[in-house]
Amino acid sequence: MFRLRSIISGRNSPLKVTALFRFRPLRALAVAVCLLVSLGPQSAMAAGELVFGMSAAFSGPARGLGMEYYRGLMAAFEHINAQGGAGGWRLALSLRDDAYDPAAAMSNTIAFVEQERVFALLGYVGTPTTARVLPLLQHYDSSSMTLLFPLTGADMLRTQPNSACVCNLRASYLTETRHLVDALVAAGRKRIAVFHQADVYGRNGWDGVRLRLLDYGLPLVSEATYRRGAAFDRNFRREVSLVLAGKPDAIITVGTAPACAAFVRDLRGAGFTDLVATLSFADADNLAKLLQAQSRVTGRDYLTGLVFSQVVPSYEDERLPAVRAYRQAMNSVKAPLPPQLTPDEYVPHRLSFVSFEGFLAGMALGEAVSRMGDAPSRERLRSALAGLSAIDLGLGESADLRPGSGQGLRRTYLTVYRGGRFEGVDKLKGVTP
Amino acid sequence: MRGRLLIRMLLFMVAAFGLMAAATSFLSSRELKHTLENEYKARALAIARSIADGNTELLLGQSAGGIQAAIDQHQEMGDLSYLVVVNARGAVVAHTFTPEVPGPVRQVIADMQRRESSNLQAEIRTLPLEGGSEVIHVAQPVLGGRGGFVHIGMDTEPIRRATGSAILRQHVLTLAAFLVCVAAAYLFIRSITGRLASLAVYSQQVAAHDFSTTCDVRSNDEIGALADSMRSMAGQIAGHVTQLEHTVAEATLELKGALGALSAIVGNIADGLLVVQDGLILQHNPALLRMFGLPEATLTGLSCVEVFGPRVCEAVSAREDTGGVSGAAQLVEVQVNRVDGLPFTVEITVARVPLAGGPASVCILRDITVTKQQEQEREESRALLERMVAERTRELSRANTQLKIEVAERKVVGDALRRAEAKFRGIFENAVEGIFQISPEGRYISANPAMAFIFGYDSPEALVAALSQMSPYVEPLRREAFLEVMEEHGQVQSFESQVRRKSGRVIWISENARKVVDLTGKTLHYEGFVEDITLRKEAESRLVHQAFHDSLTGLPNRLLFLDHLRMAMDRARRRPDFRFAVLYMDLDRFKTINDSMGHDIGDKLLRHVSDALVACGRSTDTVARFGGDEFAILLEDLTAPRDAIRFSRRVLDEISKSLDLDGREVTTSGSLGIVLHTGGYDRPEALLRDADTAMYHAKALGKSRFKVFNKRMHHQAQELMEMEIELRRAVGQGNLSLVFQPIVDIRERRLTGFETLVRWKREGAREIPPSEFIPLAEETGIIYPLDHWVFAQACCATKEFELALLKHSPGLETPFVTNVNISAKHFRNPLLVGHLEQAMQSAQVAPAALALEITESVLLDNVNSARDIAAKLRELGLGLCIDDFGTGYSSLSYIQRFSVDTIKIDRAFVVGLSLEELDPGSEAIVRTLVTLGAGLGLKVVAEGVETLEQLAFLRELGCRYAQGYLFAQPLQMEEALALIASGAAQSWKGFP
Repeated sequence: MFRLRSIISGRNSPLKVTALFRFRPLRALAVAVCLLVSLGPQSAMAAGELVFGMSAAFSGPARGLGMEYYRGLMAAFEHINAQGGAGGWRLALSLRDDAYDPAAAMSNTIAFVEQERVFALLGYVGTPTTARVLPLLQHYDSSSMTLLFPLTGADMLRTQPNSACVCNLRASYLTETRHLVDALVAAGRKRIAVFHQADVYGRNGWDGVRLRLLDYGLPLVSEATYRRGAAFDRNFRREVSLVLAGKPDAIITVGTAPACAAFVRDLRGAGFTDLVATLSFADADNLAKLLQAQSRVTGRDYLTGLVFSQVVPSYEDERLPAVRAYRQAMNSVKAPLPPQLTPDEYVPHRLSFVSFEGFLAGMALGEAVSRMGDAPSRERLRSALAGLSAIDLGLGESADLRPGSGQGLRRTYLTVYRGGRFEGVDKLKGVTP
Repeated sequence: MRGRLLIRMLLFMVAAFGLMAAATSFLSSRELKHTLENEYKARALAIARSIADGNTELLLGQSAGGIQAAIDQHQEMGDLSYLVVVNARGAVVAHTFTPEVPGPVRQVIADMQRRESSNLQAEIRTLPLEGGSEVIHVAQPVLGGRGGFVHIGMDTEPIRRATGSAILRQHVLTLAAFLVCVAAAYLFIRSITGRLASLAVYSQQVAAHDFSTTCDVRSNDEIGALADSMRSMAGQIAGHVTQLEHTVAEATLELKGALGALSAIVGNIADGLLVVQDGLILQHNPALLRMFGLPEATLTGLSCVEVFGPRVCEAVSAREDTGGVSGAAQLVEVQVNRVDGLPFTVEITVARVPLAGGPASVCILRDITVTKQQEQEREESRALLERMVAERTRELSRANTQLKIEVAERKVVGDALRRAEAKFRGIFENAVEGIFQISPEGRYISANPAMAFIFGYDSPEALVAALSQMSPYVEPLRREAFLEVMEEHGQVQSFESQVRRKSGRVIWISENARKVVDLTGKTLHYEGFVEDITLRKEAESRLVHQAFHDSLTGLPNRLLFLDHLRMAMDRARRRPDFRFAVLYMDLDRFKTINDSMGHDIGDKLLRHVSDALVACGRSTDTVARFGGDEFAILLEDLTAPRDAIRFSRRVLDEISKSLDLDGREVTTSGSLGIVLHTGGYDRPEALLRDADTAMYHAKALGKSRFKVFNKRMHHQAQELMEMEIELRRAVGQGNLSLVFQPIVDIRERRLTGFETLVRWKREGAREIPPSEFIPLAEETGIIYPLDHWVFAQACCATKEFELALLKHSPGLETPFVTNVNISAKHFRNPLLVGHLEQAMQSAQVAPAALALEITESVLLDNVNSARDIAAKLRELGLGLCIDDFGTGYSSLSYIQRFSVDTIKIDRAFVVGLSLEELDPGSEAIVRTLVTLGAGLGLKVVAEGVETLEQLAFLRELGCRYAQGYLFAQPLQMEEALALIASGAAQSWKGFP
């Protein structure tokens, strides 16, 4: 049913990462054959390894998310494996690159399920990619294949037909935008505009903002869209002028880090000085990195007046046990990324919101696996998840992983970048540049 | 004509085809566009309907994200350029535009919203978008507008592309047809106009009376008939014209002939012609005018009297008077005057001739003055000639006498010159050195027979001829060099060069030459001497070869080898990939072969080995002999270190093959030291030294081995060298010390003598055991001074022992002997005996009180000389003891042959006696040796006795003498003297 990879008992070997690169089918085939040859005869051993399939963007403009989420997951896995595994089972990841492309995500998923026979799918990144995989999961429902903790807040993952095969940890975009609009209105903003990605993710964010504004009886003053895959060097002046035509006093951007950064760059270039907010998927760390690099070129401060909505608290807040565990785990994380997955250079952050989220996801998975005991199966994973009604991840609030509308973490956090670090804020008054 | 016709035709066709193409393309594109638009519209409608119907649930659910996911998927399927979903209130729920919904689309959405919503149908329209594109827009109501609208846009670009390509196809087809028609028309017009043009040309030619060409236009059409009739007409005209012209030409020609003949006669006769009629000149010729000196003019019609004077007229008209026309011509001689007054005589012939205007006088006038004068001149010149001939004859006879005198004088001077030249030519021809003259350009002018001989030619002429063909110099630019030196210095001295003789053999010559100039300083030629110096050159090169080569084997010697090695090191410094290795080889036991078989065989063996080495190496490698049996090999340009190893194996294999020299089988082998890592060396000598060191290590491992030099060897060598320096200093300064090991008589329990042992304490270090420094001393030659020092010290000690014995044990009858170890090396030195004798004399010791201890190896090496020396030592009275007996290979017969008087049983056998389980081998050996000693009358001493059991055993076996720690440690001089003083020589109180 699924492949168990045995390990040499007593040896504290580092986590193995099986990497199959989707652009090299021949190499992937060779690796697969090697795996079959080398591991085939030993697959019936008692204690072993559970392999999870992760398809994410490891190349292209959105690769920062994939990299950071992967590092967080690996930090948790290494932490768990170093302590003897989850319930005796070592956790391992098999990686495939989809470059934030829905079609690639789908073929990767088919390969995970049918060729590699992974235990479960874990840590998919992005709304359009995950949205494309959902019908496939329903197709595989007979084998109880579960998608765990995707890095997306799309509401379709949280609605009824999909709740059985998807397990979410993070708050949805609707929740994020609701809290964001609440905070903006509380800060006296009445004219709110949206800049969003022209796909499911952007539409979800747009919808969240629109619906919440409707509750306040406020209109969406202007909006502009952009096509997915935009890099930081993309020119957004036309979009900026469209958004500014509505004379907004706050702008919410629903996009990826390079696109949001480029939009903020052109927005500030056009003279807009009021608040700009981003969602958690905009990867605050990489966005800040891009804008800091731009600051060095132009000498302008782009980061002041930016509000980052997050689904996890700031990793700088060491009062939380989860933050302490995360920071400790990140100090020793190895998480080697197969070189064929990184055609272009990426320098990972030592700490980041996305890797923190990945770490929390990894720890939650560890808890679920350990509850399956010594006979893990996909069905038992689902029942174990269904039994996790109040799991304490060290965030000061418990998470609920049972299927349903209130799944996962429900709080969202607002952070601003101040003095070289991210700080959590409760109110947006005084954030204005 | 042709051009105009063609252009008219073409213009017509362009107009016709253009109209046709425009019409057809317009019609067909319209039809195609219409069809395609209908098709696209139907498709767009179907898609819109399927989206609206298929996602009703989502649309009603108002989940913008879900709707967006659905329309994204639809858009990815292609064709659609945009999708917009509007809810029932008219608000856009999801769309695929970036960055915003364009104005026209917004307008349509608003339009739809305003419609009466009772019965809404799908609406299709064509919508222009910004950027010039056009889309087919379908607005599809969901649930009759209650669920909102789905708007889709389908790009019309494919329609435009299809229409465009259809028009293009049409045009291409029309163009092709047009081109074919143009080609056909061109060919047709060309066939008509070509023929018409040639007919026109033909008719022009006929008009110009040119009937030479005809018209070859032939066809059975109208043009053909026209051409035929023109041809026949032209033929008739040509016939008439030709006939007429022919007749006229004939008559004219006849007339011209008659006239021409007549005027030629008149004009060309030398005599004057005058035709006079009635006293008027009717005709005359140019000769007449010349005769009278008249200018060239026509005199016709002038009066004869006025022109020629009355006398001529008279003569002419004389016949007129006589009347009649007929009658023979009359000859008259008349004296007349020329126009310039000069008188001359003229002979006139007059004839009366009837002419057109009546009878006329035709007169021929001839000037006869010249004929008369000539006769007179001829007479005069004959007389003058006769006078001149007489005078000339006299002059000639005078000159003849003068010449005869001069010839006699010349003959005398010429004889003197010939004699002088013969003298110098003799020197030139008989000189031993070659003498030559060359022109400043380097061409040989002359050479003497000696030079021809040097160059191997039969005669100087042959030589000069050959040398002017080609330069004799082997070096091509040698001649230029010669001339250059000559031009620069005016002379050339000892100019040595290689030249080719006639036979082709190359010889060395030396040239001395100088420039020869004339009085004005202009170079006439160079002259010089040539000497054959081939023998001298050969001798020189032989000397050079000898200086750098070994005379026995012809191999390079140390000097040349070092030179090659230095070059290899330089090359390796320049080229990092250049590898080389240095090998040092020494033959094992060569000395033995040389001594036992003679130097002749030894030399042959060396030659054989050198041949083998050269055969094993490549041509680029250098094999050198350093003298004796030492060879060095330089392997250059190695690809890998294993090349050197392979070479070494091959050499050792090759050398160790037994070989037959003068009927005797000789076997030898070599030891090789190799230096592979040649990078770190500055001096070639250091490299050789390390190869030598490695060779010694190889030798130490056994015969026929090779060893690669490594760092450890280097350190060992350095260590040994330091030790050697210190040992040398220690020997020089007497820093060694002697200790004495007592030798006891087991049976009588007393001291019978000492074995002298040498001790060396290095400065600031431990005491070095003899087993370490004695081999070093032997190897470095320090053993000679060392042993001499030891022997001298032992003599002094013996003297003191003697004095002590006299004092403390007077009357001792058995001899008290001090043993001294001496190295095997000394047994090759004939001076040893004299040296020992002198040492004993200076210490005033009796030889019988001393014995030399030697190892068996002495007996093996160099048997003959060792036996001689041993015999001399025995004659002197010294005792001779074989140390460590039984461990070597010595034959028992040697004991007798060397007249040994003592043997020492090696401690290994003695130790064997006291093992827990008695070693039966040791026991048997000791027993045998004791028995042997007894049989041969030798003293037998057991060495290394350490336990009482051993002693007891020895006693039981009948061994009489022993030494070892059981009795005493080696003693210092004072302790030894104290032992003697205690009377141990008679009875040792401390005996165990």
